[in-house]
Amino acid sequence: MAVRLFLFPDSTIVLAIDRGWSTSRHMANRRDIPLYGTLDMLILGLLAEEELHGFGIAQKIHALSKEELSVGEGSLYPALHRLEFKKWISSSWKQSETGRKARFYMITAAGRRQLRESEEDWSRLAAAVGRVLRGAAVRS
Amino acid sequence: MRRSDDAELSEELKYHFDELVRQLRDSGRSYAEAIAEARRRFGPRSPVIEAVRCAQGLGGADWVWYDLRLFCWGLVRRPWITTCFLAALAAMIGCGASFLDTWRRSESLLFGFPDAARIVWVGEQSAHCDSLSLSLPDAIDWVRISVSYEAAGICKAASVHTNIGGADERLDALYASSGFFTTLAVPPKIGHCFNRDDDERSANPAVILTSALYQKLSQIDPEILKNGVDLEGVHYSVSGVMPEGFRFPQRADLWISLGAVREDYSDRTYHAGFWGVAKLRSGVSPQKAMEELNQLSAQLQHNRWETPDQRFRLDSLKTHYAGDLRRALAYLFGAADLLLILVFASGVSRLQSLVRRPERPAGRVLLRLCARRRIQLRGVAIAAAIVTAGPCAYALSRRLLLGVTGLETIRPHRDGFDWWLLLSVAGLAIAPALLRAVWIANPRNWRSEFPGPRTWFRVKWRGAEWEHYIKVFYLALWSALIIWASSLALSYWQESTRELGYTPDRLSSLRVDLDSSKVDDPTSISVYSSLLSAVRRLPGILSASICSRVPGEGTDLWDSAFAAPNLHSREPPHMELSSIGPDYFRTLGIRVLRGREFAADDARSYQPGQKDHAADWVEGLSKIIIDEKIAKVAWPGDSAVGNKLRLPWGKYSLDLEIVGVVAHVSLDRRGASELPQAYVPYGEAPKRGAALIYRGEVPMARVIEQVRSELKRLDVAGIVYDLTSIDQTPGNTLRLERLTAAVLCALAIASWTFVGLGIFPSWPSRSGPAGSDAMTGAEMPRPSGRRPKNVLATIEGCAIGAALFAVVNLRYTLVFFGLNDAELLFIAVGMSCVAVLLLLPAFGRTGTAHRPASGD
Repeated sequence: MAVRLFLFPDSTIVLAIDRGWSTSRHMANRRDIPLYGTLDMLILGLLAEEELHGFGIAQKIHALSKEELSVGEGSLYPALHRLEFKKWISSSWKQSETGRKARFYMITAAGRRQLRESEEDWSRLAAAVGRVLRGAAVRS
Repeated sequence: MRRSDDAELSEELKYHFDELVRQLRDSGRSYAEAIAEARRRFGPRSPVIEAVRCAQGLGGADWVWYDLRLFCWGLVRRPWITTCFLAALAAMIGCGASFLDTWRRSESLLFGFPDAARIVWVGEQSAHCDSLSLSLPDAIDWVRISVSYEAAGICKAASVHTNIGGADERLDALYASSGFFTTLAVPPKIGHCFNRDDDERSANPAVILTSALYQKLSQIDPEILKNGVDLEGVHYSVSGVMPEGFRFPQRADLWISLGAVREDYSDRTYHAGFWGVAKLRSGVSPQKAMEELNQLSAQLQHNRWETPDQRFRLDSLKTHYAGDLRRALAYLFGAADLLLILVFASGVSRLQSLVRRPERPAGRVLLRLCARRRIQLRGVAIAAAIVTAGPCAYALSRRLLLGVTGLETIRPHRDGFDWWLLLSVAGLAIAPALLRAVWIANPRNWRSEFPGPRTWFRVKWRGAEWEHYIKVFYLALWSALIIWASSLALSYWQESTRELGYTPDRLSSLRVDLDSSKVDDPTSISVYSSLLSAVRRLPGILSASICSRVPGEGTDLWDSAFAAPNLHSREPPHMELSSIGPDYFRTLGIRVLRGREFAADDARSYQPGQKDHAADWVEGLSKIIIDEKIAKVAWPGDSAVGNKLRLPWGKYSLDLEIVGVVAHVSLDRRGASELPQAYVPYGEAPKRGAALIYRGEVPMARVIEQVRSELKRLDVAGIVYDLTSIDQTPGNTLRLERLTAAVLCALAIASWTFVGLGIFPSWPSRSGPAGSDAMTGAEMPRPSGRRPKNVLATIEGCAIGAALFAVVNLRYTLVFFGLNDAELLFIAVGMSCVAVLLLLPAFGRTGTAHRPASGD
């Protein structure tokens, strides 16, 4: 049994317990916890450090989360193009490490501002959730 | 730019896929395994591209293209979208076809007359007949006295015989005054129109030819313009030739000067078939012109010899010829209503998506509004659709119809409005779209594969119950369809088995029109008697007779009032009068209930020419046979034979002796209201252009040959025309009802067959989430994870739509059987496809509420 976070096109993150069911979208169940806008924040956070292409971003998320988070292509690329449309990131075609041409993304100044705001919101949310859980644990 | 974006995105995705394959190979898998695993993880590329396009934001044209693709996807996967599309297409095609038909009649018939909007048609009307002709003295006085018109003329339909290239031909003609052409203001191609001198009786008779007739005659006599033409023994000079295509008003082949009218129509009470055509002065409204007509009527002080409520009637020419627009209005109403329903559905869908974006100010406002007031957007959608769409659609469609056609009014149809048609178009077109709007407004029906925002927009009704009501509504709708189809089928069966009153088996008829210049009334009586004897001599002829009206024909109707001592009503009742020969009832198989048939010696005993024509004609009448309807009304419980029936024809009123009572027959189109019938002997009431009706198994060509031989032997010029097999007439008049009943019954049977096949799921249990719902097309999550099958539902939707198409476009479905203008159908289809493409955004975006996510 494993806990997985599924990132959906609208940046919804769904926490699901993988009991070995089909990983199609029909497996959404009552254990899902929706967290809005986190995929955008993760992408901006990675690009704030370095320029990456789409595959690299997916690999980085998977690796840095210790294989807890998996981003599907159906979620990643719409998110990347949405962020580019909002001018939070920009892109250009460059030579990749394998020698092939790939599209690399980099954060913009507006993107950095948005990252700061998202991180603050996330911190507040995490602290609030933690307080609730600790309080519930004390009472129980 | 779009193609380069797609190409770059494809390149980007290909890079990702290749890197994934390389990574899997590095982990120790074989190339084939790596490819398979990468494909499994990556999924189909096209949904990703679609999602990226949406994320990028699409331009106007891109949205249409996106909606088109989504629409095609929806057609396959969502039966309701299919139904809505086909219903809209059917309604649009019917609407377009009706529009074109109305436009054609109102525009093309008028040949583009200058200031056509000011041209009016003048006649008379009464309580029994809304369209009566003028008498000639009235028409002449009206033209002379009235001041509301800048031009006015008179016309009267006629037919003439001529010989073209050795063959006798019957031509449709129109007696026309000089003012007729002045009013229309269409100059002739050659020569000139009639002038005032041509209106005088003493003038030399003149004609104006149509272009087609001129070309035909000039092939025989190239100097026809100089030499003139001979028609029925009278020589006419040719004044001019009209432009090609001009045949106003009733497909006339030629126009004859008014002065050439030989009959005496001086009686003001005789509606001799004259009509007025006039052009209103600028600034004069039809209402003002009508007031002048009413004053003129009082000024002329003529007696209304039939009914006291006769008065002048004035119609715009366009309104007169455009006919009944109600059918077009019904189609247009259905289409407009469907469009408005879909707009509401699309609006609700957009509203829902706005509600789900709390970052937008409008979304936050809506959220607060919904949360506080617990507004059910679903209910709002239903209420708005029902309350607003219907009246808006009617007003919109009426405005469009009158505006586009340029007509002042929708002319009331004599036989009553087709309410069934309106209800069918509106109801069947609206119902699927309404259900679709309801389904879309329920947020549980979107994106059901993953959770949506329930906390701020909780659905008060549980999904299972709501689906229950939808199913009940759906079954009620199809039950109503079954009932309707059954009633139509029953109605058709009743009509087709109704007693006609006569036996159409092996019954045929043909008309013989004699040259009136050479054949007076006594001569025509003897000529027709000879023709009848000649036909009877043919082997295989069982019986034959003469009549003025053939069963099933709508022409040569002779409507007359009648009076009897026992009848006391403010307005005299009317009957249909026919002129018949001996053996008529035996030939048609009509039962003679009392008295006798007419015999050969039931002929007139007076000499014509001693008084005016009308008096001569009337004085020859002495006997009449009535049908059982008149007998029951006028002499209930008593024998009518031997009594007198009065014909109140003004100063020519007369009393006729009843010599027989016969059964009532259905001579008109089945189901239409029929007047009681009466018959006068042909020997006393000769009519030009009588019909020979016979029963027997003889080839019609043989009969025609016999008639022509006899005419030649008698040295009488006559035209044989209108050859009809009467035994097919009753069935032909019911073909529309037959097709309607057949199509609707097939639709109802198909629908219930699908029900029987189990396309509709069982009632959902209330304990858990609803199962798949093929009826609404919703894909609700299933614990088993299996996707519901919509194949049969889609087939059902297509069948429903196809049947709707056939029913709504019934008239043009007949086109496929070669019964009407095919090009009108194709033009209507083309216009409708354009209209439906404009509807695609509404269709497509109603489907985006449940558009596929990645991996679908």
